[in-house]
Amino acid sequence: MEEQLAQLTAQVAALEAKANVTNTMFAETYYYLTIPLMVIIHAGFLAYEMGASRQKNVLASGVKNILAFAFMVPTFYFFGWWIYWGFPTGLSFSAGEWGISGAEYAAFALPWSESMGPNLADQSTGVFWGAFTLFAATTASIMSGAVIERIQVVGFVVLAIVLGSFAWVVAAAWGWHADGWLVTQWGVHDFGAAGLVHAVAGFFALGVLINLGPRIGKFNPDGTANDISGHNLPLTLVGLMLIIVGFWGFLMACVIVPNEGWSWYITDGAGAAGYAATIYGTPMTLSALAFNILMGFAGGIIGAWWVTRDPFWMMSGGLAGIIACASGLDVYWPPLAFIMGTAGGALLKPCASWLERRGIDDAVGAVTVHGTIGLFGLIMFGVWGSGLPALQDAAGDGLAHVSIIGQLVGAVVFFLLGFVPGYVVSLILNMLGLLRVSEDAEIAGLDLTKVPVQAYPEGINISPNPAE
Amino acid sequence: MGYDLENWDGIEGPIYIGAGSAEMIWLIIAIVICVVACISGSRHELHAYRKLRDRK
Repeated sequence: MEEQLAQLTAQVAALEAKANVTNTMFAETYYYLTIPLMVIIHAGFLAYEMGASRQKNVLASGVKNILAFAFMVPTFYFFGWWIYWGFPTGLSFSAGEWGISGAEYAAFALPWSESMGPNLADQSTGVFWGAFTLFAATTASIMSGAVIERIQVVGFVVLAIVLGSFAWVVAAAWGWHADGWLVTQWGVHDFGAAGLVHAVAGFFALGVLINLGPRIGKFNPDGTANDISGHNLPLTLVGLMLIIVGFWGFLMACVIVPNEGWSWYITDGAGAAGYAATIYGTPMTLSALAFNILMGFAGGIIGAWWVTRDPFWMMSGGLAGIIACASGLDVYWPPLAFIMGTAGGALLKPCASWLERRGIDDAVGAVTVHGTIGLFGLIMFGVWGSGLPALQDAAGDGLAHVSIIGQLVGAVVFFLLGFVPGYVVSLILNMLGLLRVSEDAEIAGLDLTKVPVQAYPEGINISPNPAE
Repeated sequence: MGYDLENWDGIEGPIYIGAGSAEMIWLIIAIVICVVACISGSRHELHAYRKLRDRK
């Protein structure tokens, strides 16, 4: 009997070990796959921006967009990842209640740490870092579209690094991390980063646009605006749809896989974690994302179509629809997500026109789509989700609760974390002569001035009639 | 540089080249590459604007 019990115990231990390996491999694969999905966001931004540029600037816009991605990767490795773990409690670098923040804990994220390279004892740091790097690159691409056709490429790269490897990371440390003071003290809930990614990037872009100024010819002497159409609207529309595809990876990466050493524990009564969790440790399912992303997306398109009948704003509306309900994608009732999406899509054009009347030349409406609608979604979640536990501890107790005031505080902080660095750094770059291209180059075209190849060497001609 | 390993048996922890000894060298070179690339890019860009102006 004892021998049989010993055999059984050994078999159970072997099965547990195999189950653990399977779970770890699943978790590693899960986050790994979010990375190429998020690269699709950048394929989308690339197409979107090039399509929105005039023919004389198309490749220069592409170069700028590609470089934002390229510089984000090493700089997020050098210091961005450390900021996320070092800053949650504020500027004191002290450890928070959960003991997973502060200067001492964040040492694992320093680039010379053994966790920051191939390591058989660490199957999570690399995939988490990769996913966060792609979040960072997304912020830079959001800003990138707003400033096309007149910004110097290196000045832009500097701004992209400040935004992607610093500003939004501080916002994430404060509003996403379990020790983040916005979460623990104010109950901020921003599951899909409507505020801490989209609003930060959108208002960073606004700060830059104020110093950068409008494109030549955008505004008349009486202040009225001219339409400067991009050279290829179909390319822009496809780009926007690719961004939507990539969003599934972005939002998938906001989920915490259960039953790993770093997971939040939401038990099913048998000691195992029964559900995935949000980054705040609150329970959720991927089914919730499927319901609400699709409903928000569809609502955004319909809302924008209703107001504009314009395919550019319809696809931007799809994006805005998802952003409008991003804060609560984990808990929205799908029809409410649809309504939020519709509102986001309907608000787009009027908000963008309001900004334009104030002399801001946002070439693709990025400030409105990401900034205004991001804050709209963040604040409205305080209305719908007020009273929900915003955070969960190991004992299952809610520590802070969602409230309208808390979401408003988050909105103000995220606005400032975007706008202030964007404005100040672009002001300095402008003073150094590194912000705006020369007037001659802007008029002649940036491709002709500094890109060694042609976008359309054979021109874009009308297709000949097919043979009859 | 270089290794003297018969096989991978018993290997655990970090397996990257230079682990525990040369991280800072590669890190500093990587940072320098980024900085020099930016400086070079800016010089190229400003030169391009001057060239365009001089052509007029």
